[in-house]
Amino acid sequence: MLNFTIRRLLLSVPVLVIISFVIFMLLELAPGDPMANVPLTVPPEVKEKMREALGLGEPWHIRFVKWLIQFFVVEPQVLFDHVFGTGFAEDKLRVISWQTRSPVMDIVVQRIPQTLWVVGMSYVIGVLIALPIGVISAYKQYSIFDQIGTFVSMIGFSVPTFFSGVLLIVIFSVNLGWFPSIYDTTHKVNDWSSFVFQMKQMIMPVSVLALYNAAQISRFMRASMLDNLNQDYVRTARAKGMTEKVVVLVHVLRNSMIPVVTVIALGVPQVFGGAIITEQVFKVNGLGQLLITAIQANDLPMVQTLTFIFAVLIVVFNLVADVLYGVLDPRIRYD
Amino acid sequence: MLDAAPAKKLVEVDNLKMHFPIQGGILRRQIGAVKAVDGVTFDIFEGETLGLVGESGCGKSTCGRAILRLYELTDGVVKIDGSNIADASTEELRRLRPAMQMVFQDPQASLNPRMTVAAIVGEPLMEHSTMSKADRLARVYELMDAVGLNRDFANRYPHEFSGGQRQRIGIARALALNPKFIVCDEPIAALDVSIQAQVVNLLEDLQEKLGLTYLFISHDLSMVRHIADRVAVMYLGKIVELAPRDALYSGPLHPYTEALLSAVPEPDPSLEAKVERIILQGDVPSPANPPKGCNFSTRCPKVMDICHEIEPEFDEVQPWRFTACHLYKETTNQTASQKAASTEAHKSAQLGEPK
Repeated sequence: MLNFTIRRLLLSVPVLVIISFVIFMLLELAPGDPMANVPLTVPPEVKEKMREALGLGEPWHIRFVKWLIQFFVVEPQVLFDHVFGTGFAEDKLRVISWQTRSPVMDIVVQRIPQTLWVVGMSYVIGVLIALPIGVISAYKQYSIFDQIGTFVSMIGFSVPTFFSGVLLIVIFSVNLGWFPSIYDTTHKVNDWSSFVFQMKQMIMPVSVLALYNAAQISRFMRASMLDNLNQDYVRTARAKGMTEKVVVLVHVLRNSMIPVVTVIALGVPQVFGGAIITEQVFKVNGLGQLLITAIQANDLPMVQTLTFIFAVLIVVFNLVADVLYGVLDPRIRYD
Repeated sequence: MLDAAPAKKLVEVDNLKMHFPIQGGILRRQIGAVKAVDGVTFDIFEGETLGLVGESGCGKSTCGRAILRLYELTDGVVKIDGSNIADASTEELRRLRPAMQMVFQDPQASLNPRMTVAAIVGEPLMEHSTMSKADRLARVYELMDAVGLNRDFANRYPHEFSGGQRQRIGIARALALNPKFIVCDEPIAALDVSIQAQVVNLLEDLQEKLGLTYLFISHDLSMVRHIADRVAVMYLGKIVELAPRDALYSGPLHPYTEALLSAVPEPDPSLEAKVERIILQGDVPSPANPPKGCNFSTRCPKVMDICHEIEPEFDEVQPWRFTACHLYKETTNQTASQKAASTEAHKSAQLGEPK
């Protein structure tokens, strides 16, 4: 298993380099000008100088290599300095956002908590809701509970978050006035009442996303349970005289969790990717919102870096899913 | 067993019915039923092996599972060692489980892939006994010895074994709680021939040592001849013949048994050429819609008029030999047409409509 993990990690290095190159070239080839938002009154020569100041004067391959060095050498050094108080990264050029002229990673680090609070929490809640629903729906297939569960997950699947989010705002913020419609990123939790406020402002975005996540995962859980409930070994367990609780929770559930756990692991990168639309609807200053504004402003280093981070997460969690598969299913051995 | 003083009846099955509903329409109403087992009656004596044979889909396995109440029975009584399990509550049933166990057909699928051999064999002990962990492991080792598995394999998973070894795990598991009665549901069907003999011999040895009673379900007539004391032949959800092994194999009574036995391959090629096979015409009718009268009437080479009208009773026609066929009912034979007519007339009179 360890050998497998190391081999896969080594393999992922060329994969990630290729991904970063593809992202870079796509952005390079895409139309758009970082100077487009500069007023028309600024003369073209000045604009040209501004472009050069951003590093756009160099040919693409030089810029790509520079980005690689900045991201893979300088940024880790900055992190190292930050943790151990050393000075490796002093005076070295980091990946700089064209919008704010501050290092991209600093902004990303600022935004991650918001995304994790809202999107991460919704994922956790979605999973916690989905698993029991899936288990019960499968155990009592075609019961009223199952029918309702199917109906709700169909809604969760098919209603887009920009609709359900706005609907919640209209009902609970505009009409009832229970929850704020805008997520206050600057809010600090330091006592009970501020905690209550934090909960209040989280409820709507979290429930919109949790519904969406729970819909998918509960379907997976149900299908996987149904697969296993009809297996012969379940009959064996019953013939042994096990209680129904042991049959379902030990025999069936443990086997059914194998595919579900990997699905859950594969969904984690999307959490970090943020829910672009939901973050927009509720004005959560998360990573998704950061990406969308960077795209609008043609902030190429920001878009490049964010997209690449998502790519890394996807590669890593694919590996995590594969390793989990090996851990959970004794029939799968990698070495 | 055929002596004057018959052994104690361990399993009594009376009119066992197992119908599976067919649902259809928008509201999923029941529109019919697959009569997988449709009124089966037999007894199994302590220490004997009853072979249950029949072609695919005739309800053998369903019958075996129903006897252990792995299904909810539609109708009938099943008594094992005196206690009626057909209407026992789930909790009572669970407590009765140790006495009755099952060896399943597919040794791969019937073992939980995520449990080690020790866990699979030891789990019933955890549930039904108060053994300590060490005692449990000792018992697991003892069982593994009994079925001829190396003790070192206790921490392996089922997929790491061959088919024959897996079936031994299945048998060890079934033996864990010292059962009296074991249903062997085609335990050798998934194994190749050399392994089949090993497993069957193992089952016989265990029977001798532990005094077990088997219901041995199989479609392999030669194997049943080898292991069974008495044999029951099933066709389309019903037992058509039940007789001691030697009597059945030397002189089958029911035309279906005759046809079935004539299909057994003859190992001697010079004899093989002379074997006269009874080839049945047509297909097995659907158990959802069995024919009127005798179930076998659509394919029987000796069919009579009465067979299409009246269902034959399952009776003891010779000592220890039961069959359900009109051929052996002289009274019905003579007055077959008469009786059929009178029954019809009686029925129409009851229904109050002219035929």
